[in-house]
Amino acid sequence: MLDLNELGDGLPAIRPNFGMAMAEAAGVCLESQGHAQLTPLSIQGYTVNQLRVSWPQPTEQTLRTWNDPEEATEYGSTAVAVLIARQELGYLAIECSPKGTGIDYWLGEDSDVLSFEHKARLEISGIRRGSDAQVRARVRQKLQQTSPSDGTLPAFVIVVEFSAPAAEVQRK
Amino acid sequence: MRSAKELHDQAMDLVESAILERIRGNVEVTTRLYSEALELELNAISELESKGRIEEPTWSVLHRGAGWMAFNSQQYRRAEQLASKALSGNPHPEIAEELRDLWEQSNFHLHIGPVDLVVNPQEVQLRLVGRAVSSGTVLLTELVSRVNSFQKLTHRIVQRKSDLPYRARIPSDIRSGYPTFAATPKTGSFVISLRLGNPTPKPSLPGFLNADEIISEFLDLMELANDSRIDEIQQRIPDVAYRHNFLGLAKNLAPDGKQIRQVGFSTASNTGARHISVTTPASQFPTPNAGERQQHGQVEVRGMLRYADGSAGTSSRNRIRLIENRGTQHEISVPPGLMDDIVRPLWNSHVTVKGTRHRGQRVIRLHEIWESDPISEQVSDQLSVAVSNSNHGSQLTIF
Repeated sequence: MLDLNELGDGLPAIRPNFGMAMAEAAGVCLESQGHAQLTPLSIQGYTVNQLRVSWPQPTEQTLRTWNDPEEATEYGSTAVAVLIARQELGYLAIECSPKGTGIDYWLGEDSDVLSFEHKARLEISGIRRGSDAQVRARVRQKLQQTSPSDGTLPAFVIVVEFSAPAAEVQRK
Repeated sequence: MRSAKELHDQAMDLVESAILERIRGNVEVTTRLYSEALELELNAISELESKGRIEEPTWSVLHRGAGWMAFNSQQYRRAEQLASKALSGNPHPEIAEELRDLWEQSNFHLHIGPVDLVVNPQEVQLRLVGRAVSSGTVLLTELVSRVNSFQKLTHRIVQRKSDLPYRARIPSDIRSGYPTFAATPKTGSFVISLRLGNPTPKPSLPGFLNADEIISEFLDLMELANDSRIDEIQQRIPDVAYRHNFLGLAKNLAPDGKQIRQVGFSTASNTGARHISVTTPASQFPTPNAGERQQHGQVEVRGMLRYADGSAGTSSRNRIRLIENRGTQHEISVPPGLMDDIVRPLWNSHVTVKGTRHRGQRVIRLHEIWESDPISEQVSDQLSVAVSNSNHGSQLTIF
């Protein structure tokens, strides 16, 4: 079970109201693809599973807030990805930092010290409606963003596709 | 006294609120929240520095974050300073690349104010940043190829939005009705104004587009391509030939990541100025038929591009021939939408072709093509033709 409502309790790097807003964005994306509560989401790649998803029921206000499909897909996929990281990989989104107009999350164990060392980045990408090939291409693009000769920071890549729905998880 | 962790967490609380306010359309509140977050993040950095805790990647990630807070609160000079400070240290290459991106975007905004960039909705200002650019001077080939691609792209937008089927040749009434003018280049790094004309007299037919509508569509599509949002491009351009054509021309406009690292476009609209910055290198731009690469063998061949006679019959249409230096020939099929605007300008040039070859077939299906002549690259290092811009007009300079 992947209960997006749990984001309303927050995570170390996500405050409760922001977590709930992202969960609502995921609900908007899933319902836009005709899914009903407890629809199965398949997870492939580094870890394989199938989980039933539940989400906060979108209201008129939620739909107005998330009326930009790009924003809804971006933050909806983040909601799904951080919960997959916690449940399937056993890592919490523990630190975060702004990047562009969004937020860059880092996975690890909770600590009182501000540090990005010994943590893995969580690189998230969302596709509202796409084929398997498009999902694979997006994963490949994320994995190739840095030349291997430069060395890479440890990272997990999670691409969420809402029409199946499915998530592809890879380790960088 | 608050710890660095507490200060950073409070800054991130404000960033989350800023994102939600931005999504709700509250621009002023968003800017204020980012500005407040920036002060907290700078205090967090000072707290770490005072304790000598400047380990990587923490130090550079915090500077990158603070830089984006400055950028999002329109404090571009501070954003530039924060990126520069972090780059002066020893950031991880991945973070260093992201800091350069922040630096370039801040720098882009710093330049657009003083040069009075935004003029009117019929005008796009093209700004090039990279190794091929020095103040007011640019390598001519880098400029000309992009201006040509811009002109073709705007003509294709008119053709598509007029509900005309894709044709290899752009109709002459579109070419003559929607010309592109280059205005006197601005001083700065390299900034040039491209102005779109409209047919005169204005046709009353449905499908007639104003220049500002064409520019708005152009900017929307370039933004989607820069973010590799191929599914949204597919929704906006369902016709496969038009889509292939757009992807090919957009790739030509994109930076190569070396000579040109950033291509910026700015315009005015009824809702205010709009600036987009294309930073994704052309090699990472979405390509037509990307999914095929999963299913079939990908091949890359290099050689002189020759035309297989198009009049020889249907099977030879949309075919080109590439001859390697040692004489091996490859027959390549060109998907609809690419021949006239993307492939034809490269005939008789040395090119690299990336494509797929289906099992048991000799013909390669083209995905990407670009000019790649190592000899001319060597020569161009020694003999470069550049176009300089100044307030006194353009001049050609041979170095």
